[in-house]
Amino acid sequence: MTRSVAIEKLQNFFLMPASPRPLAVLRIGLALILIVQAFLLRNFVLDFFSQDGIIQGDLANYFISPYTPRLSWLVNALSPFNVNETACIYGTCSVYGMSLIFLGTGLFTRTASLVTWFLHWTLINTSRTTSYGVDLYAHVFLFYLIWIPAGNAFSLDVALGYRSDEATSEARLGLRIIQLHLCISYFLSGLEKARGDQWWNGELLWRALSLPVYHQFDMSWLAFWPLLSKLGGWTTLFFEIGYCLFIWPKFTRRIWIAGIVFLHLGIAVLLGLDLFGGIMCLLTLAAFGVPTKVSEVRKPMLCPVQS
Amino acid sequence: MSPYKNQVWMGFALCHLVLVALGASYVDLSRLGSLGKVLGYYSELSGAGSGYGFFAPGISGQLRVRFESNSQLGSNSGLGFIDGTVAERAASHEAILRLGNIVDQFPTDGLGEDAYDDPEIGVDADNRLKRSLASSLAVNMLKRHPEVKQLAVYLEEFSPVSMEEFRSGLRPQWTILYEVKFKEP
Repeated sequence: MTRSVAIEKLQNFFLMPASPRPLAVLRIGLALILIVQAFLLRNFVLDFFSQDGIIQGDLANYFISPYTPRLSWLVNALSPFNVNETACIYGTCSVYGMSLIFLGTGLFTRTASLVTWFLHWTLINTSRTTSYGVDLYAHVFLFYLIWIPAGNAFSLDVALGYRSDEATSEARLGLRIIQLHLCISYFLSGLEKARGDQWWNGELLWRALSLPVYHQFDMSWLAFWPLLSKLGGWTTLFFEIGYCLFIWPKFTRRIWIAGIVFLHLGIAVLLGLDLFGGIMCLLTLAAFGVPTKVSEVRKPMLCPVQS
Repeated sequence: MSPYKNQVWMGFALCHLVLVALGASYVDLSRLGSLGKVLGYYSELSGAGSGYGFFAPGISGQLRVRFESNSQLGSNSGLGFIDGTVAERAASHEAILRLGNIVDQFPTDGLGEDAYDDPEIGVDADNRLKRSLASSLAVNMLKRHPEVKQLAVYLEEFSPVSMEEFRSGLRPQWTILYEVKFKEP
């Protein structure tokens, strides 16, 4: 293969025009999951974000990376104007909630993405000790939404004529970054898991299901079916390590999408990690399960804008 | 998008993905000096520096904090931090998971040795952090229960047993790793 052919193939891979629909599915799904999360945590706002919450003052700052935004900056900036901490916290959370609605409906999508990403980052920094995997993935993919044309389909921006839902190179590039990011994360996550004996001898699944924090059902019977637990561990490694290879060919893609969705639904149901399971299913479904070729898109849901 | 712009965005995307791979491999960028600091900050704000080793390489156990008071709540009543008073308002498992994550911030002995070059300093730093976390949680509980004048905080670890041990009749238990008592001045 000559150099020019390789460059052309690379350019086609990254830049051949694609429908923005997969990106729109990601945008809507992510906004919905974060709205549900905000609703579930509504009674804990002051416990998690206030300076005299569960983790207080300087101790809370100890866990935050330096120079990253946090609510105490806003509180300090507004204190000369007699705005107290509680008002700052509830004000920020309200703006965050509004930005999620704008993001989900696709109204002023870029601005909404930027505001949502920044406020989400500020909130998870402020309550760093409480954050976990779902926050990490939300932060990563909210950052992508700022740059990719996620508002170019299934959005009020399109319905109002601010944007067109035609296939573009930007959509393809955005989709490729998301797809490759998922491949990297699954591959390296799988490799790290494979280093541990527990994933091979079936103990991992058994131990995870035994921990009180994840306890949903009585799974003690699993101790008498060790092969089942082993199979669970091996299947997880197989699908995670194989993701970067088998998610691409059409004939294995459906199997991998089904496997990954089944895996994360299992995590959601058996370990009670509902939002984490939901966001992981969404990422694979949006990145690899939504048609990207214009011809594969059967009926337009909204009329294209006349330019 | 113009061809020139395409190349620029593609280059930027590839650089970003390299940072994603480095972050997921836990490569310490701060070793690169000033450039490393800039890349580290970008990785933080974009999430490119995130690790993805959930449940990897294995599961050791679970930490919890338990409170005991000498008030009308009963001298031996365990005020489970996760499944007790705070969780009364917890509408969901989501909130309980997050409360559990706070408890995971307690350093255990093994973490102290890994986290600091000098084991002596490490142990001191770990003890200070344990004490600070315990007092932060105690202050929170005392605010919620003004009738409580004295409070003991126990950091406990749940060590799961293996499948073989379970079949032979062994059951997992909570063991106390650390305890400290607080009383109102």
